[in-house]
Amino acid sequence: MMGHAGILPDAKRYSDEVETILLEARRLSRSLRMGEHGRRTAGAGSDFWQFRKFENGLDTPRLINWKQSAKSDGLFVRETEWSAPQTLSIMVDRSADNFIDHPKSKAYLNALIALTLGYVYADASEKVRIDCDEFLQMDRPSDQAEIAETLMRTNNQAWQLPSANNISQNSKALLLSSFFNDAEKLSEYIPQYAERGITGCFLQVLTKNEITFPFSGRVKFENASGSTVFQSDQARALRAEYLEKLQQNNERLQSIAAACGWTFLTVSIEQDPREILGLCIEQLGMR
Amino acid sequence: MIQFAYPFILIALAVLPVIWLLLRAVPPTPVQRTFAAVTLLLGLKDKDQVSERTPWWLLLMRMIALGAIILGLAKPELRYGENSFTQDRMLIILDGGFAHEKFAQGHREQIETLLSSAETDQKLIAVLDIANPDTLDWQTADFHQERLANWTPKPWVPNFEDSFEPVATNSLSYDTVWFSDGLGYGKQRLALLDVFQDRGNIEIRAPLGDIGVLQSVSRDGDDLIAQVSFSNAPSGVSNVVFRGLTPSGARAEFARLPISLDTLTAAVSLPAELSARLTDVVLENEHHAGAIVHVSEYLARPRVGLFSIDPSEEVAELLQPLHYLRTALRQNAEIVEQSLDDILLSKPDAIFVTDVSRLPNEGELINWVTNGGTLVQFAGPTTALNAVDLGASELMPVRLRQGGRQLGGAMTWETPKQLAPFSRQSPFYGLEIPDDIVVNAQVLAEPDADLSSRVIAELSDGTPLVTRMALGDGQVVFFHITANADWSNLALSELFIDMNKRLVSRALALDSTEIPDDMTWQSVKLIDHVGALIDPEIPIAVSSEQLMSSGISADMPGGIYTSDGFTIARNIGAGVGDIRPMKWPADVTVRVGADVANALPLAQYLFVFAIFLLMADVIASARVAGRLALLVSCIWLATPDLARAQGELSAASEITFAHVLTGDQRLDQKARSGLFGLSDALFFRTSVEPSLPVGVDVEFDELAFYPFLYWPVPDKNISLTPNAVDRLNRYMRQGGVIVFDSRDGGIGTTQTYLRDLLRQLDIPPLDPLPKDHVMNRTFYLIQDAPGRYLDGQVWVEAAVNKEQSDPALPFRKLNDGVTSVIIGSNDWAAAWAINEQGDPMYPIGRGRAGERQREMAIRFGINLVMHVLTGNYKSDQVHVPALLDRLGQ
Repeated sequence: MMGHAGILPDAKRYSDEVETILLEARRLSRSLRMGEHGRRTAGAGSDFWQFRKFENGLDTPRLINWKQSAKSDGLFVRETEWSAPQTLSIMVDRSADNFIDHPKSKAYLNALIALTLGYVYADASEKVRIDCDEFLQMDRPSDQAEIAETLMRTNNQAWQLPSANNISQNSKALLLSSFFNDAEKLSEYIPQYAERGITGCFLQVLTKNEITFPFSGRVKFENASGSTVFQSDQARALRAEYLEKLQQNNERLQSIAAACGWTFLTVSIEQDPREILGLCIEQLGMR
Repeated sequence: MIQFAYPFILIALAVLPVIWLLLRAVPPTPVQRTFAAVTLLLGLKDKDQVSERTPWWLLLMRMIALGAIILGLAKPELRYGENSFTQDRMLIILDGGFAHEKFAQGHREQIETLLSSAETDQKLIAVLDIANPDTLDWQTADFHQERLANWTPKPWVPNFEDSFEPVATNSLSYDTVWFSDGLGYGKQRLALLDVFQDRGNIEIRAPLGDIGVLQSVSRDGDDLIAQVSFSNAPSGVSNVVFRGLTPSGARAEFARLPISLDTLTAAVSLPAELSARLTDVVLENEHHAGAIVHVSEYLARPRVGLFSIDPSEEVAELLQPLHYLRTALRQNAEIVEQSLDDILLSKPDAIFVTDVSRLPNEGELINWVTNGGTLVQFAGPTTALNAVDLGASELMPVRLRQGGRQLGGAMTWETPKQLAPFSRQSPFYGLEIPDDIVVNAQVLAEPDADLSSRVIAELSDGTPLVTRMALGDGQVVFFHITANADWSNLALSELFIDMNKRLVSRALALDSTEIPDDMTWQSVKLIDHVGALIDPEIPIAVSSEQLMSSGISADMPGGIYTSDGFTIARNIGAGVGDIRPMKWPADVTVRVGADVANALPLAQYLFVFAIFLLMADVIASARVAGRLALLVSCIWLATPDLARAQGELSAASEITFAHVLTGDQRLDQKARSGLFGLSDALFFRTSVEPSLPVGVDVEFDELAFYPFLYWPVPDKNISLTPNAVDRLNRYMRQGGVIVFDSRDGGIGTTQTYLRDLLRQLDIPPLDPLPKDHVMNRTFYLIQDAPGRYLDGQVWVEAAVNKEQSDPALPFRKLNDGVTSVIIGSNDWAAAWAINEQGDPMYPIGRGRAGERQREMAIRFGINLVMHVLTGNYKSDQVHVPALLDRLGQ
């Protein structure tokens, strides 16, 4: 059971935050609305694709479009465009480090991106599954609030990627994290994903401090949980080395991505979310 | 010019540069940053080992603070003006008498400055307190500094006689500073001055201002007269304030009178009730022991007992003998009218008795009269019948003749008699006798050898009207007529009032000027230096002679003295007499008032400066290390009241249940878990959503925020302070409910502690919880109140019948029918208790029956809370149909 002390005010605050982020995601998604799109091939769907000749033995007589056939001599079959939905899986890093400086945290931006993409793709009749320990579906209105709520709270664990079997074949995936210590993990998982035909994109969100390293003097660095500590007497002198290590890390990620046909994007938390979303959509394509 | 007392300390300043270097070497506290990419930093190394340095301005600030402390320790002093003291010894003389108190504060400050310069100059100092002379003790200045900081004048006159000895016994040479109270004490002071003039330079520190002394307060008839003396005619108006106690015992001001400067007196006629309660008289704006007179009993009104043996007889009020006495005495005496036993207990000065056949408690009365009481008896029909028996009593001044006599009646020959003039020996001598007073009947005395000496008033024919006899220290007086107008119209006249007044003041024979010799008096209170009464550490015993003749001194300090029931106040003003200002010879330096400073000690300013710098350093260091917010929050948390207020704030904004902290850790934990479980059940089942329960200390915590208090009775005695008792009683009266749980299933292990606890509180009458009590249907319909035990009896406040409800017992009405206490023994907390996971913590009963019992316990708890929160709502008739329906009837 939950301790009920302060549960009401807490719940109120969370629901406010959840509502806000859902609304903002909704608003963003409107500006990014994509048209309905087909598979450019005949198949199950509602849009007209082409009329073709009836082929005896191949088609059943039920398929004959009599209206078209009456216009000329042959028998014609009406085909529609195949528009089976694609699946997008979004995996978000919810470890405590992402919640530094909440509510202007990386986690907020991650959640906003995940939810907006969710809306955009759900509106385009795609399936969007977001990893909240188990996959929840964005196109189910009943799940939306729960997704938002989950993404807004840390699980206080290192990031766990779902196993490839849990992601449908030939689908798209988006990984949201800062990827500071995930290279090992990714080099293990991404080839497995690729084997199942899953393609996708890493989106790295960095804070201003992480990009510019503006520290100087005696500084004691620690992560959000305080488990990792590093102390420097002259932080300014470390800047170049730090940036180099960051660069190396990113190059490694880039190579992991490239090897499997994935893409690696890195953005700053201060960038306009619309811009970031545009990048993602461009990379994910879904066509 | 700046002079240092300890210049060698300044050497320490040389160490400052070294400290500068040391401090520079120590790196500042690192700034703390939360940084997600810290894993990328792991493995990196600082380029060189020279670390970031503490900012120079912070170092400079610390250096200045340190320098200021070192300078301060060297005790620098800024000197200005000329200095007339050349010797290396200095004698400080203090008048130290009662009047010095008025100027003591200013002089203490001057002494402090004087001593600190003497310390700088390393002089030897001795102190002579003339009010309390002792041998001179030559010591360094700091030895005297502490003693003189607490120096207070003595509440008596300076003792010049004994002051010659300590200074005459040596032939040292020294400078002298004499702190004077500005009063002239005659030639002795000048003689003493001569002694010091031979030894070296002398400087007199005279106060700026005059002294007024309240010499005495005396009674002249109804007037109280205060006599005052001033050293110089006062420039403004001085007031005399008469103070006393109100009937409730609070101090109050009764009168405030300006002093008449011609006669130096102030007179007031206080109403009798006020003057009886007068405690002291003060001369305003003087603030010393000589300006206050504590009133002893001789200013107070006598206490008189009135006694009549047969009040059962129905008599119109105006015919009652006591009525006339009461009227006659009311002005001058405090009247006690009770049974004779009670009258004697109240220690009266006189007892008036009317027309009795026989005095009860004769032995005690004789005892009382022998010890100084005055017994006044009046004749009457009953007396006349029992005259012979009465006359034989020791308490009757003369032997009486049976029957009495009638004058001027229809059946008598003689005309009514008038009063003869009072003789010189009579206490009534000098009172004027109106012509129209006549006596119609009287009780006659047997002729006797002593008779004529005992008559103090007689009729025109020589028969006695009033007789008197001394008995031990007291006296017995007999009026041969009634105290009402039956036998004589004397009782209707003013003469009757005057006669009684004289008798009563005779009862108070003891005036301050005439006290019995050969008595030993003991001090019960002493007057301190500001004139307040304090309990003496060791009671002082003095003889009557000492008490009355000698002045106020160390051997006979002012205060309140008692002996054998007499009480006398000896005030300082009385022994002082008229006061005059001191006229110092022209050849001595006299500095008046505060115009004496010629040195300014700087150490204190340096220290304050250093402390400010160090405080600034704390803030600046926190700022540099990025922990300013942390520092502020530490200060916030370190203020316990704020933290407590925080808790109370949350208790006030949400429903919070509280248990009383018993000091037994396990018990408190259990109560907390119990209330937690109950809160939880309420949260899920009802619309009551309580916040986490809290433990309260009934001693300190505000109780008003909690709808009820759960009080598990511990296995030990609880004794509450009066403060806690008061708070708990107020809590119950204002609608709070206390649930006492003795936790023993009624077996009795904690019953005695429970009983002791309840005895201390204001618990209303109790009844066993009736089956139809509203608590049994506030939420669930329940039959009983099980906890961990099933059968313990539950007690609630007894129902009050409407007809019998007593407005003096407001519990029922005030609390809207909610019982203010619930007392049980079923250990409810154990049944309610759950742990963090929501599992029950204590086993209840056995198997399913136990679970059922737990459920019923929770239901009882819910009903209890609902009862507390909704009061008698469910006892309203509107619910009856629903209840009957629910009960299937």
